[in-house]
Amino acid sequence: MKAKLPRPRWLWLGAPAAIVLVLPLVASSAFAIDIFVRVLLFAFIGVAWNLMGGYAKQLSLGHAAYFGLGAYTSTILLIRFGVSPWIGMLAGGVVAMLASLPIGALCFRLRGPYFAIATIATAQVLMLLFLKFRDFAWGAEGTTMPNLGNAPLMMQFDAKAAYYYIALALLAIGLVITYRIERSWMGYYLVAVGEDEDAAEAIGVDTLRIKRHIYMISAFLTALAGTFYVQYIYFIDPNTAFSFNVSVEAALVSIVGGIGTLWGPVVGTVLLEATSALLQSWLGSGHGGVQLTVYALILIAVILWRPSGLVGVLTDAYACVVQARPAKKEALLDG
Amino acid sequence: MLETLAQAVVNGLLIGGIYALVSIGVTLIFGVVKIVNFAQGEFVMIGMYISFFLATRFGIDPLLSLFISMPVLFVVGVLLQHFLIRRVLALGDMPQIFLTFALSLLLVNVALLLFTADYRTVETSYSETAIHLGGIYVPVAKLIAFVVAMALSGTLWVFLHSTDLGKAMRAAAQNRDVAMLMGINPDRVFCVAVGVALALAGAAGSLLMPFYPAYPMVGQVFVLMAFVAVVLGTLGNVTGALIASLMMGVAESLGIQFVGADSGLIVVFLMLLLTLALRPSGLFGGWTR
Amino acid sequence: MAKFQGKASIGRQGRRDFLKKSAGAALTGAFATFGILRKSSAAEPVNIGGLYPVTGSFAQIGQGCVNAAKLAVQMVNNAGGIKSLGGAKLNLIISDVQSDPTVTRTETDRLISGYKLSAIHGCFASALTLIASEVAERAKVPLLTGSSTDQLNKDRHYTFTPFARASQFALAQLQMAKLVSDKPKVAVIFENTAFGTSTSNGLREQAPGEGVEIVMFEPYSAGLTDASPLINKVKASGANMLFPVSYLNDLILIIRAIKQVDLKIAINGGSGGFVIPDFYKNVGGLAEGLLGVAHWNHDIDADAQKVNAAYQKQYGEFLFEYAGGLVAQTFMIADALERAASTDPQKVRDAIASLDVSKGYAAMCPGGKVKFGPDGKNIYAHPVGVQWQRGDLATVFPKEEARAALLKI
Repeated sequence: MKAKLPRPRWLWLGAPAAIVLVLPLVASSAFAIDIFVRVLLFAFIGVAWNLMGGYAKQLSLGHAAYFGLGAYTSTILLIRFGVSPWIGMLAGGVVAMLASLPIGALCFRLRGPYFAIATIATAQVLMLLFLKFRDFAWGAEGTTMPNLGNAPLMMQFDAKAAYYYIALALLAIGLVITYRIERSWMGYYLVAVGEDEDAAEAIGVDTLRIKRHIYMISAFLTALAGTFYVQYIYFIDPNTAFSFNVSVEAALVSIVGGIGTLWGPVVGTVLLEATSALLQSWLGSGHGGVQLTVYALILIAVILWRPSGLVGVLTDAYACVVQARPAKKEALLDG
Repeated sequence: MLETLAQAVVNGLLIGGIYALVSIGVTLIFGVVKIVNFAQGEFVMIGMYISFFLATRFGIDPLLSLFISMPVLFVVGVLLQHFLIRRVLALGDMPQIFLTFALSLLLVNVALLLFTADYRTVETSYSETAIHLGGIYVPVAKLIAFVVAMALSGTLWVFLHSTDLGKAMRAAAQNRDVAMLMGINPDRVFCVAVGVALALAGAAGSLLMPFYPAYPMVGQVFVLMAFVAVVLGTLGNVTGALIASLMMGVAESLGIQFVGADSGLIVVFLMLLLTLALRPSGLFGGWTR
Repeated sequence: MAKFQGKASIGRQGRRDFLKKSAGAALTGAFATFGILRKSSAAEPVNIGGLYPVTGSFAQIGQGCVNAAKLAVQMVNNAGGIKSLGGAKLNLIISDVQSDPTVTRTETDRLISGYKLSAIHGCFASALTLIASEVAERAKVPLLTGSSTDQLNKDRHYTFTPFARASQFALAQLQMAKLVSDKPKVAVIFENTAFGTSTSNGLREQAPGEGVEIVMFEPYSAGLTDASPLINKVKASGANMLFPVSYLNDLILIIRAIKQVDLKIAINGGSGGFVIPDFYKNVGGLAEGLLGVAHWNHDIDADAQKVNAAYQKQYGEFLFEYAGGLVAQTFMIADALERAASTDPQKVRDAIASLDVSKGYAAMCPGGKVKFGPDGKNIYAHPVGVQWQRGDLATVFPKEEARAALLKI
């Protein structure tokens, strides 16, 4: 019997949503908003990755390829053609989707670690290519975003909070898409492919088509994040745009939080980024290596203790709390 | 022109020997234990630091320190397998990949904390000397590294094919369940496999010390090439990794010479992608040899 | 395994998950706020920020920079602080930008908004400085930097560069080539990120004008496993001079590879990893006689020598280019604060823009004069040529500023 939330139920829904919506307005400093933006952004990237890596279990460590393609598309459109990054963002998504087709065609022939290594290679190749494209893509030196002051139509804002809301919107979109896919026919096929690709093939699932579709969606979303990111840090260069760190963090937050779950990436990002921000502000003047050491230890702990991710821990904790009040529950369970 | 070509090939082979030591370790672990060790480069780094400290504190030549770094890393490997890797064996690809990845992150940063980011070099009497063969220069330190690397690879090959334990490892690699039925203790075999792989990484570290600086992130420079070699040579195939490493060293060198100095990596990746497109199971297909 | 397999296919309870999400958000908020509350900024001292990569790929140089920054602030404070503000002391807030762009972005923000900074200096690596400069520009806080990329002087009002620009380094290197040979044939190899690319472009553009022939011009991927193929190519090009634009780890390999193949070639290693003590520590005798360029050196004037002595006493190695430069920058900030008599960043910025000094630590740079033009460049800035002599860097170029004779090797 599933536990149901006690009344009034709208409070459970409304309160967290309200908190999240007003957070930037009550936050004590711009730095706090920065942290939130980072959390939202990387949670979004994690959610995008999770579609591929969590549900379909295609461990891609090269998602930075799409991140970078999105970032470069919008930047080139902005600086060379004066196109607003809002449009550029969508254009970037399309470019990424198209790129995912040949990359997928190549890499899907492989499984497990083979696939992972191939994806790493594609992201690296793209980075190397962009390092060479000096003429229309600024090559190794990269470029900063032109300072347009407060220009909402061009995705530049004086108010920090604006970036927060955009990132929040992106995350919401990612979560909604995941939620819908989870419940659709595609969701079931995805899980089947993820569990046992050969068995799925055997019962007639077109695994290649499924993988291709989810890859396109995943790539599209990741590219949106890429555009947002470069608009946010005001800078782009191949090392940043195609950074292996982005690929890794996308997968990391999903694994720590809970692969193949809706909220996994969010939980993972919150934990990892919060730890990271805390350490940074405590040890800001640099004891080289402490922060990442802690990061690594957390990851190892999670993998050894709770490989399915921390979402499971929270769910269990919640169930303990709710199930601890049986008598009251009786009265509430009226359907 | 011919001289330039020949020199390029020699350069490529020599560095390929080092790639081989790293990639053989990776492929051995993958073949037997079935996990990809993303931290292999960090064990090379540990080997380098061991040799560095032995050289500066006790004046032990890095090549001699092989006899210390290899056993030490063998033990580390056994412990690693027994206490960490064993716990994730049943969990599937992702936790395994991320365990070794986290390990890599951990080792780099602990090294950063302990040793700082400073570059450490060791000067030996042969660090800068080279043998002249015709118009070709063969740096002594690299030549020694190459020869030792080949010797170690050869020894490993013999071990895998002629000793009982070695054959047991190959059996476990081919089919774990049947191997167990035959009375092979997988745990023991895995411990040895990881131990040997890490010992090879340690050897690579010691051999690198005379001509390469040690610093916390040094492993990552080599591990990328190693992975490509492993895939090229077919995951799990030790001979394949060796040959692929040498090929890659030469391809990189030729790429730098004739295409462009920044094309080394692109050439290598293109080789990888081509292989994956045309022969995904690697150049040597099939199981561990 | 069964547990999370099931989870993926059973419908979620939306509310339960919102609860988790809000707990997470609240937790983050608490962490962040807590993190900020821990720091208390005193009202009296003047806060200035120093952003350097103490960890990550630039860690080596970053640490030296932080050491120098602390020393500089100590010096200012020991001399009485900012007298026009009642002897207010400088309070240096250091942040590790971890050699990472996102961290640079958020850290710059954090320092500016959390500490009411009056000025900033940083970040060594051009890519990181560009980001910090964008943030500072939008937050209207002045930034001083020794980073050489020319992009830093475009369309900015709050970024000031007291030292030589990338194109000037290139020119100096070319001119120094003629010290060594009448018909210089130069091979340029450079790492393919911002630092290497901007410097090498400067070389290529100005070479014809200086009568220098460039016979090889090759970008390479930083992080070499082996420099031999590259050097092989240099050898084949027939160059009599090599300009490597590289970070330290590659330089070590390059220098050694040159020795290994007995290549007799003059080397001008430019700046960056070439002009730090670690270079000598790692290549030892091979460094002898090698040329470089720097935007600051510890023997350019008496003040520099004094600071160097103090630094050397405390840290055991000589004060290198970027670190020495930022000591001067700290004094420039102090000078500006003195004249502005205010901690308001806008006023400090204006005071920096009107800076005009020719003595004291604030003028500790090649040529001994600092005055900023409308684009934030010091109109007197120029680099000096240096040479490794007996484990130390001596200024040997231009003639008028040479502090030691050029070693002919």
